[in-house]
Amino acid sequence: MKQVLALASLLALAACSTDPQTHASDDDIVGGVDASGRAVAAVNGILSFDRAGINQSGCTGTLVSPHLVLTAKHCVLTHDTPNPPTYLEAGGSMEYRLGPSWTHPSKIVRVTKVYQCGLSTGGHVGLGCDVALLRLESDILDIPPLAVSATPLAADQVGTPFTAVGYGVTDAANRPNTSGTRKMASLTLRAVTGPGLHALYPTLVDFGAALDAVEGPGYMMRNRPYYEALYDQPLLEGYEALAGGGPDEAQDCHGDSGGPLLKRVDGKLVIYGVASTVVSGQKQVCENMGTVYATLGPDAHAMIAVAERP
Amino acid sequence: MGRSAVVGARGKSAGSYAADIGLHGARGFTMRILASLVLLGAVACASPSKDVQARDDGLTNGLGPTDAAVGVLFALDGTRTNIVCTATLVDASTLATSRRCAPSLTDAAGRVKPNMYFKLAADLGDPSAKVVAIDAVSSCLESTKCGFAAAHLANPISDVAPIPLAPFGVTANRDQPYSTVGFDPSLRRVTASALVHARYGGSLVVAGGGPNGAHLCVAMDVGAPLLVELDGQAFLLGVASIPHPDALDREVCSAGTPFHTLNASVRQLFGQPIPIAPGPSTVPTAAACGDETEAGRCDGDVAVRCTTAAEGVRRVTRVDCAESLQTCRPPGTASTTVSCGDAP
Repeated sequence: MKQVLALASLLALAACSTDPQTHASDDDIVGGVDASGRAVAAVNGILSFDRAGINQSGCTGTLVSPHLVLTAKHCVLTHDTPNPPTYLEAGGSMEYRLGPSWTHPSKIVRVTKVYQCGLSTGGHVGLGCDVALLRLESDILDIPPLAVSATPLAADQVGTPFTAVGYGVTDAANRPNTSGTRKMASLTLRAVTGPGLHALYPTLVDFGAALDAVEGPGYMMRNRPYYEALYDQPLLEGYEALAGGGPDEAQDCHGDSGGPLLKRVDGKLVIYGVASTVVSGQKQVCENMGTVYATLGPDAHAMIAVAERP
Repeated sequence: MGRSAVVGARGKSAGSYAADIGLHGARGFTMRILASLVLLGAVACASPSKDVQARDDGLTNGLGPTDAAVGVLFALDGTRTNIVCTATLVDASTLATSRRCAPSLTDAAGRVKPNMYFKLAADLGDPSAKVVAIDAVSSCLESTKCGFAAAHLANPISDVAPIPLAPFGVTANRDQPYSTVGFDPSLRRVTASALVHARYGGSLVVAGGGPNGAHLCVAMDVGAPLLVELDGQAFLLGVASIPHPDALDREVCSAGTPFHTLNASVRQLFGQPIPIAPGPSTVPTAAACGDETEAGRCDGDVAVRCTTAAEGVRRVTRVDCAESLQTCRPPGTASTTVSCGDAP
């Protein structure tokens, strides 16, 4: 139930895409830009289908070995029950769609197995460690995988730049047809401990004013219990971080879930987290208030180690 | 997204509403419809009155293109968009749906959750589907007398003809051509006949089912309308109330669908203003971007552009392509807008 409550208070980022064959938009991660370079070719779309073959969700995942894709745990779960089965367990299927557009993929590789990060309660989406791995049916050998950081995000990285990549919706109204194109954004790491939104808004009044500026006067007060709890919710230490939310920073939204938080280290891109959830609104479905990222601590590395066993 | 829906019904273009419908939906319970009706309380406990008189009011057979006012309420909930219920536009700013849908739309204090929307389209996957936020919901206090809820749209829908509440009640028999509207598994809107074959007290009928009858079932079909056309005008007579949202058993659904119908309590509900009105939008306009354009430009390896109106708040964003080992590509090279990519 805790999980359900947490989900109700925040908006996770998987997109519903009722028709994956819709054409791609010229728009972006809300405010981002197209990302076509080979350096980010390891970041691709994930579509999940129910047992009737109906597309139920779209997410983003990163190739971390020729046959393993890093994404968010909530992207693999059907959420039909308090202890949800994965799409595979529920008789559905998942696809990893290569290329800048998941509507026109250069290749589709089926997912054969799902690994979930150990901690399963707490945090902003109630799933604890919101990280998962997908095992692919066949190796992808023509795209270099990205490295996973050996160390979790640390306090001394707060204030430094990162890059987000994802396939999420690109407009304020969350229209599914605007998702499905690889976009990227520059984000600043805001917090790794404590209530993440406090790093962006010093007081609840500031937070409310920012909401009202977008949603209209009185919006915060009409929904005060919801947003007040959100404002004070601490990051799950060691498992979550907040990035983005700056005035000139683009904003993750639905479909960007599982997308990597990248940093350039010694001339290579390294993954430090996967997109987990954002602050939701009405007029602006994903408020420009940053993204909670699931970070890659010991639990996530243990999961990766298990998945890499032959 | 919640599964559910009208199964096997022909789309409107088939030109016939004598559909063979069954709905599938979710999972879990398999209780029979009689048990379902018992759960409806006092209304369901009343004896069915099957000796209702046929109307002689010139009802036409079937419906014209009137189902355009029927859409779905959906929530951005957890990992995906979940369809909550079906709803019908009864005037430009008001939807009628089932009272059972209200708890999914509101918080414990009765306020609309901030992520609730109405989608109006013949195909819910249509990129041009109309989507409007819900900003208020009211439902009857006395559940045994009124199974309706009224939802208010943040912005009116003026280009689709609403289906108003009927100024009369259900007085039909098996020959009366009522209709209902739902969405099939491919999320396309379908219309089907729904002959009323039982009436319970003054606020509930069972319609559909039988060898040739339409029936709705479970999940998002809750709130689906019971419609009638009179002299070319469609009217709303009821909303589907399906007690067991996880019914899987086709046989359960084929027994027919219970619809809450209009009565004085419902008319009172819709006769009152729905509390809570949205504030005016203060979203900044393109002027907030100064000289920056939507197509954008490269400032060294930084892509700079003004967000579009579709992206909501207008502002200038900056993306440092070099941070991800790419270079900035001006508009018209790799994309119509500024982008990050490999050096040419």
